Amino acid sequence: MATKKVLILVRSNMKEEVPNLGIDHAMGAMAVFLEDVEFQATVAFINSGVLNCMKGQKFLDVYGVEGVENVIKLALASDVRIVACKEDLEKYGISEEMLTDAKELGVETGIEVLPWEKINEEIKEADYVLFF
Amino acid sequence: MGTLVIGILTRPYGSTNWAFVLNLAKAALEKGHKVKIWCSGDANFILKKNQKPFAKKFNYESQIKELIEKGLEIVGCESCHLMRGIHEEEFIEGVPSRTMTWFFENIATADRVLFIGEE
Repeated sequence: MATKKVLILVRSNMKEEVPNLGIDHAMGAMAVFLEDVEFQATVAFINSGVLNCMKGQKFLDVYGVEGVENVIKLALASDVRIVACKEDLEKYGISEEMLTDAKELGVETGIEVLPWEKINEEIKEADYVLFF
Repeated sequence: MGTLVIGILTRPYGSTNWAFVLNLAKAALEKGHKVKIWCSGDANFILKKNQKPFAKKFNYESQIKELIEKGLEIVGCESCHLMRGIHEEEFIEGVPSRTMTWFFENIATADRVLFIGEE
């Protein structure tokens, strides 16, 4: 069984549908059962996409719909690896303590903070890079 | 000959992304390659039939029909198009609705994959 790495780069912030679509594709990749290939999905939030990673989003209160924070929690619970760009977090003044997690779902692995250089290496190593 | 899978999120007519994708698909098909296109998000709007042509403007429906005749496989994302109130029977003839499984099954065997995100 070959493992194919899918790296999903999310640049849009939570005001748009796009981050949800990116995470949906990651969870879709993890859920597909093929005879000789399995996918390992990583979602990397970069640029203003890192805003999606903040905890305490009030989408349900403000808009009455599920926000991207809940989708990130479900993705973490589905073994999707979630990464946020260190430099972009710093640009927006977001500390690691401000990032969401899925501990209430029993998931200890949270969002990984990686410098852009490392994310760039992962782009080169990935079998598929999907831009959202 | 190879297989090219293109995923795209972009809305039609709002940018030239679709013009690029369809030109690329045409060139690949004419060289004998297989081309498959996955429409996600707002890209599903391009699949609606009865797009009215205007002089000297893009008309993607006619281009898609021409490419389907040349062997293009283009599909809509079921949840995305239903969310937008577009039903499969409103699609251009020859375009089916598929789930995300279709996309991952096809990229697993593709020779090249191109994914065009939102602008």
